Amino acid sequence: MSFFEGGLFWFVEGLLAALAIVALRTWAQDKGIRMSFWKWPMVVVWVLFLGVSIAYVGTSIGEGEMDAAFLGAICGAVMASISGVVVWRLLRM
Amino acid sequence: MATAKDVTKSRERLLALAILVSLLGGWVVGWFRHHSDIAGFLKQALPGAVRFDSGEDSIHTGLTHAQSESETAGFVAIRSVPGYAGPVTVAVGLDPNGTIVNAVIVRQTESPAFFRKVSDKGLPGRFRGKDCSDPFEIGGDVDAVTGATVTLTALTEAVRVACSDMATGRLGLPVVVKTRSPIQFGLPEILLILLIVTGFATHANKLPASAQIKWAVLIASLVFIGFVWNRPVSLTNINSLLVGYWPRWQNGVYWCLLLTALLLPIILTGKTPYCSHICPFGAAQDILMRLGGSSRQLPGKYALFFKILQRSLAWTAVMGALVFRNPTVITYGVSATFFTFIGANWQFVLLALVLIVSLFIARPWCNCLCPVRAVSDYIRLLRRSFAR
Repeated sequence: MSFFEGGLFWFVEGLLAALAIVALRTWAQDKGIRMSFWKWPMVVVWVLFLGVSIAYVGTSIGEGEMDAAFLGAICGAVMASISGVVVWRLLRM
Repeated sequence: MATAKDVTKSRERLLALAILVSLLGGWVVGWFRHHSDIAGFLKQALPGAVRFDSGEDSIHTGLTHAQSESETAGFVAIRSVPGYAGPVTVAVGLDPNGTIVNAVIVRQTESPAFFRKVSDKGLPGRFRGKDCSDPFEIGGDVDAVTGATVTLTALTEAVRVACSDMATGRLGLPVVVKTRSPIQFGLPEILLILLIVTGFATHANKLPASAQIKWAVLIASLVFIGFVWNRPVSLTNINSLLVGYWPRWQNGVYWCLLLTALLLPIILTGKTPYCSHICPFGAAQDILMRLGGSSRQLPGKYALFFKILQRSLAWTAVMGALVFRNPTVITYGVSATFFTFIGANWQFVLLALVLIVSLFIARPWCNCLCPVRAVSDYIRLLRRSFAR
């Protein structure tokens, strides 16, 4: 069984996710951004979207579907950038 | 003594004249080098024929032997029907029973990405074996091709006309007679007129709440002209006009309205309300700019670089179209890619860049690369230099 299929991988994933949440909170406090209840799910959804986009491109490359990977990368980059800017503006409200 | 203003004016006049002369030169070169050798296409359309006798009605009779006692192998007709960017010309071979032996493209100037969608479906070769009495209905006996309706319609119509002419003129066979409405005028044309009138009125500040109405027009244009009909003004339209590939006005009311809305105000007033108040891709950039919360213009030194790049690219594209008599020989637009999701890889990359930059800078495509803007600027230069 490889590292990526084992429980340790998910343990590390959980640690990294917890670290990311703590880092986001600290960063928001440093920037003077007040994280209200609706901002957390918004950021989580955006991060998940980014992750899914990267996973889609990676999986497509792995499957040898280079056209799908290319279009996925383009669409993912544009949609993540646009939604990222919108999320950022909402965070600063 | 000449003032600095006079010097600038005379330089502008010289530049306008030089561009005009170069374009006229390109047109003349294109006119002389434009010819097509049809002999090869006749043989491809009717491979069983050894020689061809040409009739007055442009129907070629294919004969089985080189001698005079040879039999008729069939007929070949070459017919053209206007497509998106010029005529689609096909050679159709028909056997004496009225069955299509082969159909080949003689010449077409459609956008490569759109034509590829049709050719990938095996057209026009898939017309092989069809009978001249078939209806040639897209969605009926001819499979539809999503995203290339105009090209497919022109191709199918050219094949149908060729078959019909040969069937009635040579074989005396019955064909399906198509009745067409004399003028193509429907919902797209009506909505386009509404958008143009409202867009122009808001541009001239003739309406109350002009800012809100401007946004309504831009969003309607983005949805209908852009995503639903995918028929905004492009350099291909302007090149078609210059090369002389004009559709019959009865079938091209939309095309005439759109080009008039773009060109007439520039010629008469030097202003381009189409670009700022109607253009669907401009609307998309405006929406992104609002989402990004910025309305910055490109800094001066970059603006000059991109202005020169924009005009040089547009001049090259127009010259290419004139010399090769092909409106789509050099295309670098991204609006069609945005609205149809069809295009080359580099167009997708460019489109992504434009969309992302639109979040931070006002209308980067319009100000830096749009060829239609460059053509508008040139008409404005001509107007400023020579009109009283």
